[in-house]
This record gives sequence, structure tokens and C-alpha cells, in this order.
Amino acid sequence: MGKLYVFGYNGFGQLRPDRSDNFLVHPVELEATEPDGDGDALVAMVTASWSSAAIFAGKTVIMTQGFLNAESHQFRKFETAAVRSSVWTADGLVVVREGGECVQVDPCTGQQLGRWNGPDGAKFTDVVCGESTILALTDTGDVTMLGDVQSINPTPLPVHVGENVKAVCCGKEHSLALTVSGRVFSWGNGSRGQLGHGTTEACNTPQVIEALEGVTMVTIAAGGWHSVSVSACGDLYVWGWNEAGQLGLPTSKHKTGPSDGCTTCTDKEPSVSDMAQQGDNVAEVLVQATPTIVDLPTGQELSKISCGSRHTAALTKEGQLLTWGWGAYGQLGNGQTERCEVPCTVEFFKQRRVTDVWCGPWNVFVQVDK
Amino acid sequence: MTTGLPKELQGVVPGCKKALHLETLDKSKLGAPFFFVLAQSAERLFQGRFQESLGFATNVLDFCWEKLNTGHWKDVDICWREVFTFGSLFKAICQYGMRDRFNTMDAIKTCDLGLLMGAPVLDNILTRLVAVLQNSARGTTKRPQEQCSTPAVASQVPKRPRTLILPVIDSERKVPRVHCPSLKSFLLNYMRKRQPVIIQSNMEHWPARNHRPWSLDYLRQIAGCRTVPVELGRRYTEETWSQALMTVDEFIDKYIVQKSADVGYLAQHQLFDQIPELREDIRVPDYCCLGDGDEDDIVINAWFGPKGTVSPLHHDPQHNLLAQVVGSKYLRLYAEEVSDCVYPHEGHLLNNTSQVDVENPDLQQFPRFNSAPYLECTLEPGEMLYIPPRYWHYVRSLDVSFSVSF
Repeated sequence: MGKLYVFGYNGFGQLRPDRSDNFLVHPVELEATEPDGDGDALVAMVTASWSSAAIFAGKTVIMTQGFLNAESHQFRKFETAAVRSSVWTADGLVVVREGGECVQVDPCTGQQLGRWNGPDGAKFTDVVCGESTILALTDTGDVTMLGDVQSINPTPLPVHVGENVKAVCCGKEHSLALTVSGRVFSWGNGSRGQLGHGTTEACNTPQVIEALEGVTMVTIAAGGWHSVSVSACGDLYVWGWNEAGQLGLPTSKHKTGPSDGCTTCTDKEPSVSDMAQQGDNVAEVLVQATPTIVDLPTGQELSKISCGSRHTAALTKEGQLLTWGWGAYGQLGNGQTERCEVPCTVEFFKQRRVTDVWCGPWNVFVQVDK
Repeated sequence: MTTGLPKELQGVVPGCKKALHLETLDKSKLGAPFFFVLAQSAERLFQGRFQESLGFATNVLDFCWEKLNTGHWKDVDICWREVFTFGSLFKAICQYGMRDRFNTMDAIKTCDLGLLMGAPVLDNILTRLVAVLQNSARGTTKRPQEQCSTPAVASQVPKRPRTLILPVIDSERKVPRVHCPSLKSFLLNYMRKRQPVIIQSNMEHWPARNHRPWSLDYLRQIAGCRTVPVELGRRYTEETWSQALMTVDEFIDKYIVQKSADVGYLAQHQLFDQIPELREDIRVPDYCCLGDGDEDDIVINAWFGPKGTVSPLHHDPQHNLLAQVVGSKYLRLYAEEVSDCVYPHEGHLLNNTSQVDVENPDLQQFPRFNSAPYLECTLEPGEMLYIPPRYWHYVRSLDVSFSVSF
């Protein structure tokens, strides 16, 4: 049985359809599979939208939860041909099968609703989605745009990176690509510095992030308006918007969003020295337009990172979970709703071994070793 | 059924979910899940289930907030700002209905955030709701006592000892002053000629300069609990510039009364849309009807801040009348013809702004600046300055200042 824990936004029952809580501040268990005699089936992956979640228990069993078929707190479970990647789009659920097909499926039944052709017959390996862009990666290392969610174009449009890409991810308005050689490219809107090119200018075509040249990156993740990557040496690099501390850098004392507790709010007068200065890592940072390293409190190495809209989660090689950023919906898993501007170990998992983590926009799914 | 709603609100707030007309919202743009949450909040509100309604209203606001921050503000579909107002409405009513957990100030703040970031719905319901909430908070329906109407305006406005160092105005470069010109004279001699001028004696009938004189105490009384946007940092052209939301009381405490190292400026804000009571203390100058466009389109901005606020040299596309209510400001003006001497920024975002720090110009970087002719003045309370379209202007407050621009 996969042991999955969930915390954060549950307004549609997407974490626990049996619970009416708007959000869960403490991790709770989610039974991922039924015991069917074939031993431990681990959760292969989770993909979550604002209002729903799809949990892939093994590669052929999909559990969908949340707002389905125009109703809230729904639960469905069905079998499907093996899936290797999946994402929610505005229209529904898109999956990439083990065989390399990219298809849209009914999230209640798994029935195939439409399909994209790979460019020149290439196979797809991965699919990701931003606010209105769906990107897919092929086994030839090419990035393609599956088109606007408003008008699914069955013929993907190529996105020119110029190198073999091994991973892609999207924020609300930007995209990142990690090449086989360990370089990071970015494109899209940059108004929060999420492109990492040192400005807040937009960039229509993929550009390499100059500041990371010379460092080999092994994994990338994108949140709503922020970007994260981990180097081969295990260093954590962050850039983009830090309004809720999602970069792990000091924040302003001022609330930003409607639901925004601030643990650093004091009666202290803001002073000129508190304002962000370039390269000054003691002062508050709102927009970090050039990647910077964030030290982890425990000095551990990271194996995986995942981002929600305004929070970040990271898995260490020793099986610990770190979270930071916006916490109003309990998405930091620490029993609080305050934001946290420093990567913090989630107490709940200290005695356990975390093996995987996936973030929805306002929540987190954690897989733990039994 | 109005069972759920607090009694005081029943005159202002619709009595049932139907009266909200949520069905007129574009569900295809909002998406079914979002619309579901919005409807859930509304339903529970009218059932008096405030805690649950508040939870959903908060979801609505947070989701909207993300939409409003995606892409350019002006490109965001107005429906998101409309539902942000609905969310604020529901949240404020819930907070007011749960006064064991929240106080009326929280509900007022919620309304203000809705007014600042949302778009009006239900005949500007938030403005009407916040008026009721303010009265409830004050414990009265009467507005603060008017001062005795002694037309000695100068003594009504708090006088601070003039220890400030006034800039010496070069008589050759003085902005001309004129007493209350006729509309025709103003149009022919100043507007058509693109001639800046200070109009005197045209604000004497303003309640703000007369029987309801604006002072820090008065502003606190009328609007102390209201949340407003404040610009922090010396100039908007610098990296350290940012915006924050705070109440008028907090703004006055931190940035006006205290000697804060930081500059805070309530600048370029349509305060009078947000706080209609203050709108009653000012009068739209007759000269505004001479400009292009409808009278209803006239944007009225408030500019309230401590000594030392600076608006860097820039120009605006429209005619501008800057009325000085409290305190004095130093202004310097450069005609459009000498634009190349003021070195505008490149790029379309800031090309209406000069790169030069007017009172401390870097002449190595900007050698032509000192050769440019200009006009300057000290704008005093009760005066209004006419700035022609595209005329460069630089402003520095010499004291605590409140200006209104039209």
C-alpha cells in the first residue's frame, strides 16, 4: 500500500473527499491503493490542480478527487493504460502514456477524449502546464507547445531551445527547461524576475540563464511566479517572486495577499537598511531577478523539489521534507497558517522517511516509506 | 430570507442570494470550480453560516488575487475584479457578523481592499457598506462636528512655525500668478498657449479650506481606519521603491508624525472615490470643463505626505490642475520643447520620466540639463497650479502637504 500524506487546501475535497475542512494544517493519511495481494504498490506520481487531484497508484490505477463532473468532494478510481506523466489543464486531465502518446482523458472514467501527435512521430515523455500554456517534452529532447487550453491544437508547435532538454516546467506565466548538459533556459513573462535573467523584462523565446552558466543543474521546478533548481553539488538556487518567502529569502513586513500572516511582522519601524539592495542577502527581497543560493538549515542535500503557487517543498536525500513560503492554507504542513521565509523541516515527518513530494497550487502530497 | 444578516446591514446589503445576480457573471471565464466556491460562500452567508461562508470567501479572494497578479494588470479581465468585490463583500459581512472573533475595523479593511483592487458591483455596494460599518464603529450616524465657519482660513489650517528653508525662487523664472481668471481668459491665455500659471483665490469656497479645514486630526476622524496604498522609498525610479497598504492612522503615525527615515507618500490615489465624505470637502474647479473628455471622466487624485516627498521630473498626457490644500510644495517646470535637455528614460514604460535628479543633477552624465530654461514656484495652500499637457514637472513637498489633482 502506498502511504500518502496530504496537507493544505481541501476546499473541494481534493485531499480528502470525506472531509469538509476547507484546509488541513497537519498532514493526514490518504489511502492510495487497496490491498490486492500484490504487495506494496507505491504512488508513482500525483498531479493536482486548484480544485482536484489525480493520484497514480502504480502506473495503471488512477484515483481522482475533488471537483469532478461539476460536483465537489467527488472520488473516482479507474484503471488505464500505463501513464508516465500527467497534468491538469483548464479543460481536464492530460496524460502521457508509457508508449509515448499524449492524450486527454475524462478525469472520471479515464476515457480518451483527444490526442496530440508527436512532431515527426516522436514520442512524448512529459507534459506540464502553466496558466494557459501546455508544454510537452519528447524523447528526442524537444520541447513542444500543445497549444492554448482555449483551443487545443492537435499539432504541437515546436519551442526552440537549441539543446537536448531533459525536463520542463511551467509557472503561471513562465517556463523553464533543463538541458541534458545541465543548463537552464527560461522564457515567458518576467515581471517578478522569474526568468532569472537579471531584469523584469519578458522573453519570448528560450534564453539560457547566464548566471547559472558553469554550474550543472540536475533538477528544476517552477511555482506561480518563482523558479527553483538544484545543482549537482546539492546547492539550492532560487529566483523570482519572494512576496510570501517562497524563495526562502527575507520578506517585507507588509502583507501582500488577502490571506497573509507574516511571522516576521513586528512593531519594528521599517528602515532604509531593510530595503532590498542588490547582492545584500540580509535585507528583505521582494523580487530576485538573478538566481541566488539559499542555504539549508540542516546542510542536507536535496533530491527533489516541487513548487505550489506561492510555496516550495524540498525532499532531502535523508528523507526529510522541507517547506517554506505561503502557509495560509496549511500548505507548509507545520500546523500553522503563517508564512515562512526560511526552509523548515516538517516536524511530522521527522521520524519517517519521505520518498517523494508533489505540490498542488495550495497543497502538498507526500509519499512516505512504510 | 434575511434571517442571517445583521440588522444594521439589511438596508444596504441585498436580502438574498438571488439579489446578487451571480448568474450574470461569465462562468466560462471564471471556471466551474471557482463559480462553485463563490456560490457556496453566498449561500451560507444568507443562512447565517458565517464561518463557512468566510472560508469560501477567502478562497475566492485568494484565487482572484492570483489572477490579478497574472499578466499585466490592465489585461486582466474585469470579471476577476468584479468577483474580488463579491468576495470582499461576503468576507466583510461575515467578519461583521462574527464580532466575537473579528472587530468592525477588520470588516472595514476588507471593504477597502475590495475597493482598491476590485471593480464596482451592485451599484458600488462596498462604498455603501463601509459607510454603515464606519458609523457602527463610531457609534453614531452623525459626521464629525463641523468647525465654526469663520472665513479666516489661515487660522483654521494648523500653522507650523516656518523653520523650513524655503527655496529661493528666481524672479525671472517665476510661474506667473493670476486671480481667479474667467473661463475664457484661462482658455485663451493659458491653456491654448500652453502656459503654466498659478490660480489664486479659487479654493476659498472649498470646505477643506473653510468650515471643515483639513488637519491631521480631521483626516483621522473621517478616514483614520480606512486602508490606503502608500508609496515607500524616495522615488519611483529607484530600486528600493515599493508600495504597501496601511490605514490612514498608521500612515500618519509612521510617516507624518514620526521622523521616519523612510519616506511614505499617499500618492496618485483616487481617495475621493474610496472615501466619499472627503469628496464633499473639495470642489472640482470650473476650468476642468474646458479640457477634453467628459466631466465625469475627470480623475481626482490625492497626494498626502510628509515634508520631503519627491515626484521626479516627468510629464503627463492630460491637462492638470494641482490644488494645494495643506502645506507647500516646490515645483519646477520644463516645456516639452526642451525634452532633449532633460534626458527622458528609454523604453516605453518610463519615457515620460526624466533621468535627471532636478535639485542635484549629475552634469557629467547630463551636460545639457543646466542650459534648459525652466519655471519654478512655491505653491502655497489655497493656490492651484495649471500644468499643460506634456509639460515636465518636478515636485518636492516643503512641509506636511495635501494636494488634490484634477
